Order: sequence, then structure tokens, then C-alpha cells
Amino acid sequence: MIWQLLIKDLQRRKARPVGIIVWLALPLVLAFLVGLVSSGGSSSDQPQITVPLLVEDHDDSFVSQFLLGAFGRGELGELFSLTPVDSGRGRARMDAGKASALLIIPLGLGDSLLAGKSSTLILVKNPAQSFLPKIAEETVSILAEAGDRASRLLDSPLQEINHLNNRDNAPQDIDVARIAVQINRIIRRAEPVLLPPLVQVTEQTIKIKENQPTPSFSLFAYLLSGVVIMTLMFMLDNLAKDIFVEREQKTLFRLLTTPVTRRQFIAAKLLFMWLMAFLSLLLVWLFAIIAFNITPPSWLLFALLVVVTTGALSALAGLLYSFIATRTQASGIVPAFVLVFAMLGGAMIPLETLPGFIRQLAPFSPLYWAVYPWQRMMAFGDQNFGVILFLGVLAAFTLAGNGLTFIIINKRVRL
Amino acid sequence: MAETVLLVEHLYKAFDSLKAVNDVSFEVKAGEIFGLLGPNGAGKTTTINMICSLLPGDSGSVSINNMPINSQNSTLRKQMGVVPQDIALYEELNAIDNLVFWGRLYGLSGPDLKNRTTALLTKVGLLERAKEPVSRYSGGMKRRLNLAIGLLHEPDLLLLDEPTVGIDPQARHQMLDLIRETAQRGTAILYTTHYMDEAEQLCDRLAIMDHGHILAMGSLSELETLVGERRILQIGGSFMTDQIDKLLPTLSEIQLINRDQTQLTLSIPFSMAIGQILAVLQEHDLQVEHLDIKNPNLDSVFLKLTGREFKD
Ligand SMILES: Nc1ncnc2c1ncn2[C@@H]1O[C@H](COP(=O)(O)OP(=O)(O)O)[C@@H](O)[C@H]1O
Ligand SMILES: [Mg+2]
Repeated sequence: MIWQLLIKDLQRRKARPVGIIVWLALPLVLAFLVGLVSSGGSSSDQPQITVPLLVEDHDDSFVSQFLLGAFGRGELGELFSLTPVDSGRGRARMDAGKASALLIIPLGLGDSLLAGKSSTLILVKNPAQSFLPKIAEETVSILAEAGDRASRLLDSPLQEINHLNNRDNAPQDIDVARIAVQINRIIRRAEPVLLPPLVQVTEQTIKIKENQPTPSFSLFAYLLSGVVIMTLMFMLDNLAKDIFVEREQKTLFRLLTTPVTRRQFIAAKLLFMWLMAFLSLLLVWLFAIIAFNITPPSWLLFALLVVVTTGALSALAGLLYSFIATRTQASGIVPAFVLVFAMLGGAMIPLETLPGFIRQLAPFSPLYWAVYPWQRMMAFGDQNFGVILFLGVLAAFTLAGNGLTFIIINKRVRL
Repeated sequence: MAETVLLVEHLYKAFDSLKAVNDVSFEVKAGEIFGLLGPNGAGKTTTINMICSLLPGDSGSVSINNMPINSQNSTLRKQMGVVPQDIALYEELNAIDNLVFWGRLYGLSGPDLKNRTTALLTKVGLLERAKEPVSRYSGGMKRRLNLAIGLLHEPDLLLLDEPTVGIDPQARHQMLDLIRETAQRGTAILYTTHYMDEAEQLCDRLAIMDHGHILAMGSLSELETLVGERRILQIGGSFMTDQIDKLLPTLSEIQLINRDQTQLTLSIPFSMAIGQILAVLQEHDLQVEHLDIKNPNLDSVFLKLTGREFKD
């Protein structure tokens, strides 16, 4: 009986496939777009993000000031909070979790650049964080490239300024920065000139344990982990409405005149929501895995997570609906809950970019439990983050949530 | 003697203070079409909902094939076909998928289900467009499919709640034929309607229902004798109360059914000439503007029973 009801709902969805296709494509497109914007470095869309960056300037030349000036002014100035540290102290402060990344400018950077020789910047990323070090990395490489072009294109002006710099009454830091930013703009506007880079950025990530390989990080997978959960919730919201739809179009009434029972009807609807969420999450990730070359560290974990994540999400949607009497009410209330849960749970914006006190609320959002394990697994290739806890919480929520939903709706659904 | 399929005894249902169904009893035998005729709000749908146990009654009992109804009993539900007053179809699906889905719920499958589907689609004239989604159908086509779903599993008892509302005369004819044919195969049919002519044409027996009560019950001819060898006269004009009070005692053999300032409704014997009555009215200075004579039919029965015209 339940089976017949499921088939019927599948047929109905198949007759109107556009909705489903949109729900599947949406997370991919969103993650891809946000990924593009973020890897562009200076993101003006999200000025609330601040990347704590430590700097050890061993060079202390005009060029290093140019570099740091760029970090300290304008849009980049809003994005980064720069803290100069004494030589050798950076690592210790990073280990204490005080920053997202540490930029080490080696002695002689300026001289070698001006002389047209190559040089290397070192960026140490904090492994405890995922998103912010990535921004630091992207930005440093862009600036390094810009600086590199500057030294080539504006050879003589730089020499001149450098000359000025070496005089007794050194120009104000702020003047230099202004000039530097201006030059930077000129270069960015100019046609890209393909030149072999002189400044190279070496990335280092502190290893937690000696024997673990450096985890690779996929920004796309990181963003997708959250966005897909959020769009799934909106899809489930839509599917849960079907209980009201069947009531309005009187098919629920008619179903109850047949051998179908009210319990079977509700069970079929809950199962259908789970099934659709399951297929959607699976499809989205399989697509991402194939198209973007992301691999989960364990396919078993992947499979388990798909099952319990979608079970828990459909239970959550069901629970929201079991406290709602009409379709109009649902349209007002459910999206609001979903947005708040998504925000708190890190499904919309990376948690690290939220203020600390909000971050502490994350575990109270059911979506946090569905987003975090996917981020660890798909973006970091990590499977040692307390998997059991997350699987357990999601599985428990699946059982308890669906059970409770079933009981409440069975009591409340009227014809 | 055909056996009783549906037995309804002393059903009551109130919504707050409104007595929607008030002591309703009747039975429907195999092969019989029993009509429940009444204006909108009479309590027909409420009665049907209690029979299919979707609505708990306040008191009374319903049994089908001698078994008391019970919402959990799927055997009973299989013996019952319901065509709801509201069209209840999956608009995204086509006619075939709809029929197949509902048929499977009743345990049909395979070639049997397929044959029945095709046969019914032919009978309701939807075969040509059977593969189009229902959302593209006209109201009348949806009505026909709505009916077909109730017939698919050939139930012992068929509950039809105003199945022909809003349908064109030709399609209605087709539907009524199909319903007669179903009864001839031995199905007991409860047919509710607010169309007099339908009840007259279709039903073997019927009950006239108003405000939750069954006012009269029987075959068409039995009901018509309620009006007696008499006809109903409706006289329109403007009448003063005291004029009428004076007039009435002079008219022996005439029964007053209803009266107000603009209309008098009287029941008169066949033998009495209309001219005679008009003459009396004239004597009393009553201005007659129009006159309507009704021979015995369900309309006049309803009028006799309620004092009201049968209108929605
Ligand atoms: N669920 C309900 N709540 C309150 N009143 C109702 C309900 N269902 C029906 N009624 C009232 O009961 C009366 C009978 O309704 P119904 O059985 O639908 O009449 P019919 O089918 O003969 O048109 C009407 O006055 C209607 O307004
Ligand atoms: Mg009705």
C-alpha cells in the first residue's frame, strides 16, 4: 500500500520535473558562483569577514611595505586584520590559534625584486581553520603577482621611490601606501602581461601529527556542503506541503475511503520526502565528485552520511510541518526557521566568519550536524573528526524526529 | 428478495448547535438505486461521510453487508466505492494513471486492471484523451473520471455524492446510463442529488431530506400519493393578512400550505375547478397577479412537506 502511494508521488513529480531539476542544480550553481567570487580574493560582497593575518617582515624594505600597505588599505584593509610580529614569534602565536595565517617576508625580498631576481614569500596556514587561510593564500598570490608586474612595468618609478626611501627623512608610511595602491590599480587595469613570476608564494600548513599528510582543501566542496543542505531543506519544505495539497484537492479524503489508512498515508509522505532528499543529495555529490574531482576519503562513510543526513533533514522538515495547520501558515513560518537554522548551522555562510558568540550556538542548529561532517569529509578529505558522534546524532534525529512527526501529524491531520 | 447491503439506523451528527443529520434511517438493497434528495445543506454529504466512516457520528449505526462499519476494516472498504462530491483526482497524472493507481489500492492488478480501465474509459467517453494529464480536462471530463474511479473495483455498495454537478446534458445522460447499468449488475447504490429530475428518472426509491431530517421515503409513485389526488396552486399577488384570514374558512377542501404578503400556496383537489377559486378570491378583493398549477411530482411533494419551493 505504502509502495503504491510512493510510486504515485514519484509519478506526480516526474510529470513536473522542472522543480526537481532546479532543486538539484541550485546548490551546484550557488557553490560554484560563491567559490568563484571567494577565490577572486578581495571580496567586497562580504566585508564582515576579517582574516587575522600575522606578518613577520624580515625584509623591512620598500617592497615589503608596498605589500603590507596593500593589505592595510582599502577593501583589503577591511578584509584583513594585520598584526606585525617579531621574527620567530609568529609560529607560537598561530599555534595558540590567534590567527588564520602567517606571512613571512624573507630578508632581501625588496633588493632581489628590484634587481630582477626571483624571491619567495612563505605563507603558513592555520590547519584548524578552513576558509580564512584560503582567502589569505589567494590574496597573497595576487599581490605577489601584482608586485611582480609592478617591478617589471614600473621599473624606473620604483627605483626612484626606492631612492627616496633610502634618504634620511624617510617618507611617511601612508604616502608610500597611497602610491603603492595607485600603482596597483594601474597594473590591474593594464593588459595582463605574461611574464614569468619573480615572486613565488610557498604555502606551508602546520602539520598536526607528523605522520598525517597535509590535508588538501577544496573551497568548492566546502561551500557546497552547506549550500546543498540549505537547498535540500527548501526542497523538503516544498514536498511536505503535499500533505496540505492532497487535503485541498480532496485526494486525501478519497484515499481514506479506500483500504489506505491515515497512518499509511503519513508514513508514505515521510518516506517520500526522505527518498527524494536521498536521491537529490546523492546526485548532487556524485555530480560534484565527477565534475570537480573531489573524492570522499571513505565511500562507506559517504553512503552512511547520505542516508542519515537526508533522514534527519526530512525529519526536521516533517517536525516543522507537524506544528502547522495550513499551507499559508507553512509558507510564512517554515522558510524563516530554515534560514535561521541554516545561518546558525553554517549552511549559508562559513561558521568561522560569524562572531564567536553565534558560533557557539551552532550545535543548537540541527543543520550544523548535517553540514559539518560533509565539510570535513568532502572539503578536507578528513574522516577523523568524531564521525561516530555525528552519525549517531543524525541517526537518532532521523528516528526520533520521524517518529514524533508521525505521531503528531496522525493526531492533527484533519480532512 | 434482494438482500440489504447498506443499513443506516438513527444517525445523528451535530456541528456545534447545527443538527446536520438528525435521526436518519434507511436501507439500500443489492441492485437498487436509492436517492437522497435534498437542497444544499440538507445533510446529504454529512450522511455519506459517516457511512464511509470518515466522520464519526454522534449516535446511530451503519452496517454494510451486515457488518458494522469500522474505519480500520479494509475488507469493508474494498466492498465500498465512493465518488466524492468534490472532484478528487491527481491533476498531474493522466486518466489511465489515475485509474490504475486507485485500482491498485483496491487490490486490482495485471491484465484485469488494464481491461477494466480501458472498458471504463470507453464508457465515460475519455478513451481518446486518456493519456493527457487531468489538469487539461474540462470540468465535465473530470466529473466523468471521478465517477469511473468509484466503479473500477465493482464494489457491492456505491456511494455517489452529487456526481453530475456542472456537467452538460449529454454527458449526464451517459453517466446516468452507466449508473443504471452498474445497479443492474447487482450493486447497491446510494445516490445523493439536489436535481429533482435526476431523482425521478434514476432512483428506485428515494428519501427527501431537509435540515438533517428525512421527511418522506418511498418509491416515486408512493411519494407522489403524499400530495394525494390533489394539485398545488401558487397564487402571486399582494395580500393583507386579515383578508386571507377571512377568506380561508370559506374554502373547504382547500389546504393552506404556506402564505405571506405576496404568495399563497394551496393544495386543492383535482376535482375543484381553478375558476371557482379565482372567483372566491375576487369576491374578497384579492389582487391576483399570477397563478401556477403543479401536478403531483417531487417538486410538489417537497412543497407540500416543507412549504418551500425546492430551490438552492
Ligand atoms: N465540518 C463541518 N463543520 C460545520 N458544519 C458543517 C460541516 N460539514 C457540514 N456542515 C454543515 O452541515 C450542514 C449539512 O451539510 P452537508 O452534509 O454538506 O449538506 P449537503 O451535502 O446536503 O449539501 C450544512 O449546514 C453545513 O454547513
Ligand atoms: Mg453535499
